[in-house]
Amino acid sequence: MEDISLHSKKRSIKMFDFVLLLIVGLGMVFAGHFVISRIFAGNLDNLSRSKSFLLNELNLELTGNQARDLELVKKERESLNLEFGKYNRSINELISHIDSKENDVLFLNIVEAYLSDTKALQTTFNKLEYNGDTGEVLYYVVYEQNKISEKLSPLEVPNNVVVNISRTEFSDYVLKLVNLQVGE
Amino acid sequence: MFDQFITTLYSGKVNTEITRALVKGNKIELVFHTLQIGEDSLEKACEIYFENNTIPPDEVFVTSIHPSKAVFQQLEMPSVKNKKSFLRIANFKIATQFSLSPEEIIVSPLTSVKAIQSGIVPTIAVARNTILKERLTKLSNLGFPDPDIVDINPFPIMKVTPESILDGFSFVFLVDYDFSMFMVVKQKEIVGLNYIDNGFSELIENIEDDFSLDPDEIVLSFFNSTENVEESLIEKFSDMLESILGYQLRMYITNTLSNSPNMTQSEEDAYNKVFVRSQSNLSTAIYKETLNRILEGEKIVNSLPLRYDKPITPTFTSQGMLLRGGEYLGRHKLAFKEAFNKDV
Repeated sequence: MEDISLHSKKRSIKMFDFVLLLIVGLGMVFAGHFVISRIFAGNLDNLSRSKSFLLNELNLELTGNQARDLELVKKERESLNLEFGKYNRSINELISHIDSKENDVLFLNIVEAYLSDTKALQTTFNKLEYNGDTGEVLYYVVYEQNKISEKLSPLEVPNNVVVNISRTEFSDYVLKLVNLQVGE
Repeated sequence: MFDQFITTLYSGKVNTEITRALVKGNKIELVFHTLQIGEDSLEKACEIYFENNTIPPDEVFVTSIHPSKAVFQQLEMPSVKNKKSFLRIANFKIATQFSLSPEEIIVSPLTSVKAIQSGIVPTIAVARNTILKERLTKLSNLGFPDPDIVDINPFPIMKVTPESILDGFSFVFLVDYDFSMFMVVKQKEIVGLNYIDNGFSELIENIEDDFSLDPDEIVLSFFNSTENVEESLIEKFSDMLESILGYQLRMYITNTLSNSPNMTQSEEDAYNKVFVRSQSNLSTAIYKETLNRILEGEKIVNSLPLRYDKPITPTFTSQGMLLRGGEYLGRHKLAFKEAFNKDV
């Protein structure tokens, strides 16, 4: 059975009111949302500005959400740990490289010190070996008979030096075979 | 701001009832009610209404016209797709039948499109546009806004009953002050209809001078329900009505059945239920009792059941219009908040 309806009011004005109300309502909602988000954004800016030096240096912007902030800090810490490990490895490599070069320099200093005997007529190298830890130098030194240097160990040269000298005398010259061993 | 009000105006030849109600959730709360009897009842009722109320132009306003201002046609229709095309075709066919232009009439079907598609010949209410405009102008001059619903009496009464009651085959007899409507209903659809030019005014006119109650009081009790109905009154009026309606009732039944294009001889016996409703619980009880006496052994007579526990004071037509107004607001399961509200 159908309901009888011979006439019905045109409700265009009501629809207009509804649309107007809807627009005003939506406007209020958006304006409210904008104002509130601006307030929160301002508060967050203040918060991030008032953070400690570390947070500023790390360029960490906290959101105010505890769980999210915790996650941010955790990630930053892990990234810093990785960076720290990388630099640490580089430093160790450099130290070991410098150490190895120090031994080389030391060996060369020792050799230079022994060789700087200005009284010798001639110095002839027979052997020069160096493997990083130990080195050996074998050389001949020729002196005139009356200008021989008895002492062949500079005081300033460090320990770990073993010097073996074989001496052979000729009528005008003295020949010394020096075996210099550095390191243990 | 969000309270929704409904105003209804039910007016007959000598009676006018205006009700105003507030819709709150699924409840209708009556906030104003006036019933005026007499030749100038419309003006009197409006005066009282506007003394106590201000009606905004967008308030839901439901009214109805007297059925004598309309005709009911049962018209063969081609199969239609929807209500819009049905109205277009019906308007054209009926206008042709009355030798009028389609713009001069307004049609409103009483039968659903689904039933028409199943082969039922529809019943269509037809009103002259000029008569309707005249009525609306009068209401507008009295201060009412343009109505949202204009129904035809007594059909708003059908709103007070649950639709499921009319499953199957039944007669529905609706009684007003100066007319009655006898309807044949099959599977919730009106398949036959008979407008009768007599109502309960016949009873009121026959009240004898030595009657125990004041005649004005009786008229009011025929329109408005009261909490308790006097059994002696039902008895007394039924005796009176039986003598008036005795032979006419069978004639109404026979005429309605024989005039309906939807009836077959074999179906007639299936219509063994008669539902009666007038404007108040007293007038309904009188008609129920009378019909029961006349049709005893042939048909089961009952008052048309209500959708809610108890009737409220206003006429069932006004109650139905309030429910229609509620449906207009999208509330389909409304019930009245208070059974009897005597203060309004």
